[in-house]
Amino acid sequence: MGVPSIAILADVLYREEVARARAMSPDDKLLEGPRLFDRACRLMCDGIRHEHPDLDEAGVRALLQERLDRISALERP
Amino acid sequence: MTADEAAVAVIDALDRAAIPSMIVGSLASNFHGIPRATRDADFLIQIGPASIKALAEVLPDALRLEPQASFETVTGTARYLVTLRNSPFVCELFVCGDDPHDRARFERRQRVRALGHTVTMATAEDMIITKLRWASLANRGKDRDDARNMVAVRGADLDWAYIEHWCDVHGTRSLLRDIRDSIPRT
Repeated sequence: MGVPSIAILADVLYREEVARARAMSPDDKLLEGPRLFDRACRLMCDGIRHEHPDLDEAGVRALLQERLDRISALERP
Repeated sequence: MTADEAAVAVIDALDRAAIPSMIVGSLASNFHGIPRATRDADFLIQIGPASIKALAEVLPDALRLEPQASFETVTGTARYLVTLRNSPFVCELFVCGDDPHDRARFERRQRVRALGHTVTMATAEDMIITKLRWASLANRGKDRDDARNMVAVRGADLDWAYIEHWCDVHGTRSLLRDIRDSIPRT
């Protein structure tokens, strides 16, 4: 697929994303961000437990926090 | 308590403590644009020392209000943190100061019906202005994306004269133009 086709596809997908957002209820739009974050944290915790089966829950939470802080640091200029 | 429940609990607590407030940050840009994951819920508040004590008293046990204000690094705004037990999710309460746009956006805050309540929220125009300002000051790609998404979702019914006025004040007019040009035509 050439560059022009990818740009057209990206525009089509973006328009769909905009249409989906317009169709959401006010409650869902307001709370979707925290819900998505919780879901991402649960998946990250599952990954940490898989990597470190001996860690207790406090250890899993500490490693999650460390990884989130690293992501935040990458977002800073 | 989950992150979304924490956000709702802080909205309720601000209401019960009679603290004038409005939802800002990614919660508000999600509301006006395209929702994305967020690790914090931000509020702009008008507050004195007595009302901080009142807020601490009405928060549920799972939430803890840090008693001392800290300062946000880019704009120097005072903020109070509300942390959720056993979660990295936080609620940040920014104190409305002397910044002219902060004062203007607080005055223009809108009431919207959501979560079975009437909640107060920054308008889409003010969120776009703020996100462009942050994109320019802190150079964060997600602020630019949030602004673009709000323009794409709400473009037709925005007060463009108001947005352009504040973008001129903040020196973000060319960024606004770039963002508008980047949105695919429908």
